[in-house]
Amino acid sequence: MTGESPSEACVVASGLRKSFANGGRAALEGVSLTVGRGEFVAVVGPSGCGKSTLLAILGGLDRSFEGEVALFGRELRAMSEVELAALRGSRIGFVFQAFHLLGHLSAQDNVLAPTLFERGHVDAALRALRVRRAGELLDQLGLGGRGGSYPAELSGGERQRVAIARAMLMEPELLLCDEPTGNLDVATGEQIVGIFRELHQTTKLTIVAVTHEESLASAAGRIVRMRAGKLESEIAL
Amino acid sequence: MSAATLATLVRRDLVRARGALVTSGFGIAAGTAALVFFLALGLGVRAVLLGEVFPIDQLELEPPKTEDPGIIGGLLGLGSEPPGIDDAAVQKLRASPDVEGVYPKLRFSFPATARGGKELFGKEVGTSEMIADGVDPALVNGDLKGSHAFVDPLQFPGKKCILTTECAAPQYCEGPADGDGVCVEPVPVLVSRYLIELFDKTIAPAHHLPPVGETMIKHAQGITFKLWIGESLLGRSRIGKPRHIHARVVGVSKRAIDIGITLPLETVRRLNREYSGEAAARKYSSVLVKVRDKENTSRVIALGQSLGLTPKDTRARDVSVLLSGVMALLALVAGIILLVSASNIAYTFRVLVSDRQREIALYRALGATPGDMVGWMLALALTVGVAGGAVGVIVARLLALGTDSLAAKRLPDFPFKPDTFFAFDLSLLAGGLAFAALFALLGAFGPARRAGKIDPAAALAAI
Repeated sequence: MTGESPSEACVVASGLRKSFANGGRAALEGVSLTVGRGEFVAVVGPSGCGKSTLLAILGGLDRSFEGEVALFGRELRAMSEVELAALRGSRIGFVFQAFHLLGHLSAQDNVLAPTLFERGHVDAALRALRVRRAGELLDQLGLGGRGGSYPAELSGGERQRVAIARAMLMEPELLLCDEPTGNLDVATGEQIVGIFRELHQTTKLTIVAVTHEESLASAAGRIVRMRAGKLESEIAL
Repeated sequence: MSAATLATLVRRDLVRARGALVTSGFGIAAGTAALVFFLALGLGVRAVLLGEVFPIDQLELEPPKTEDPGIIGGLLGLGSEPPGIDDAAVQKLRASPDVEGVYPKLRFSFPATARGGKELFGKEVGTSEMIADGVDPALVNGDLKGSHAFVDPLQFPGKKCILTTECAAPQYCEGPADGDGVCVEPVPVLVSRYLIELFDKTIAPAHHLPPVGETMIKHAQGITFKLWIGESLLGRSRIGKPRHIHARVVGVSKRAIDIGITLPLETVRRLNREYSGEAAARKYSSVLVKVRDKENTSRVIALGQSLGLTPKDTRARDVSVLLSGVMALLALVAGIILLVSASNIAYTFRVLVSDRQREIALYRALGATPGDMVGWMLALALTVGVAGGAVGVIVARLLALGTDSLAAKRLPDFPFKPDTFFAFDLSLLAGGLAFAALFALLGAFGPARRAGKIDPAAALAAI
């Protein structure tokens, strides 16, 4: 745990329990975790230990659990679907192992996908700003000139960089990454880890990354180890 | 989710899933085309039948036929007084809120024959019996094309006379056969289009006479003929002396008696008085009731029955019921096509949602609500429905044009043959589109709900 008080924390989860509907073993058994603002936390553990389940709950994608989660000081259970969706759209970014890019859209349009669900008044100036930022993000991530390419035309590393650009477009405060290097070769995975490290250092973005890759875990400021649905240990680096 | 986002998503879907969506839209288009085509056909045929052949916005009420001695009964002296309809009954009908107007009619209660038509046929033609009735001029004023007024000519009497030769043509000497008269214009007469059609299609060919339809309709006024009143092949009236009156056709009217001629009410009233007595002049033979709303016709019939009156002609109602039944049957067929289309849409959208579970889950992660996803699918279905409906409406219109063209070329001429068998109005077209949209939404509703219920965490975890 960090020494921050819950009010300064980005994520506060306590006593999280989740069992799968088919009556199998529990995915989470009383997990509590606090992530401070600007912290980079790696959640590591063997496959099936509940890492991805924890991440889905922290991101408000999974609401069927026991326990409590507060994001940015707001209790997740107290939020309506619309409020939660707005929170995900504006303050949380997701990066997935399988990239989840939309095959029918160009890299540029994939990066701009979050703007589809932007709430509130979106005028032409804001739209233009988002388009400009999408281009800048692609440039920063080494994809300058590839904005018109479709996912099928990109390598695995390029696809993940597009996914990272998409996650960063709305300037989120919390980035949740689920095995972001899991589908990449070692060299490409190292590049992606470098991107996360740089993002964290330059923007002080709060990152929670679920991984079983030591290289990504070593980039974090704190490593939380899970086993069989429980937090086993924590190491501050 | 904003309308712009919805439009963007739908536009992208129309490109990437065009094959499946076009197939779904085709079913909707076919169903809508069938629905609009059949309804337009039914409405068109109904408009001709009920507007021209059997007008349903008017109702003719008369005393029970069994009580009416008729002309023969009158000639034989049967019955003390014809039943008729008195002014009190007319006033009660007028007072009903369902009634727009009441127009009494008075039939000739004496025998008559007619002879004339030389201007039209080149030779005199005649009838052995002439049926005629008198109507309130207010009922038919709109049907007059020429300058002749539809009033009893005695309202504008000329100089006194004994013989017609003393009057300037076309005036004739009107008055009792053995007494002084006055020079007046010929009695204005209206004929029905039904009579003209009947003459043209059956009588004229049988007697090698030219058809009068077009001439009569375009130049209805001016044709003159003579009526011999007080006597016919059936016999002679008990009072009054037979004599000639001159008549002139002044128009064609759907308010005119089907087979016979229609005169001003006052003309018939005084002739009835002269040849049948006061009772025949005082009581009306029937009343034409204009109904304010066709839907309330049955209430007017019930009111008439309470006054001892029955509808003279139930063909309009029979035709209306028959047409409604046929239209309902055809609409049912179209509805079944639309239902099949809806199930096709349901299948297409079920596959679409199933294929896009991860995309939907990603959108949820990027800030979409379950409702946004439901809205997306419904908007897509609505677009398919409206587009399919629009194509269906256009196809129905084209089919109707083709059918009309074929009918004009291939069908033989028949009475009341219309230029078009279809009635397309804005509400029908809008209704067709609305049904198409409704059935598309109906089909997509289940899959759209499923889209809203997709568990984003589970869908995104699947690699």
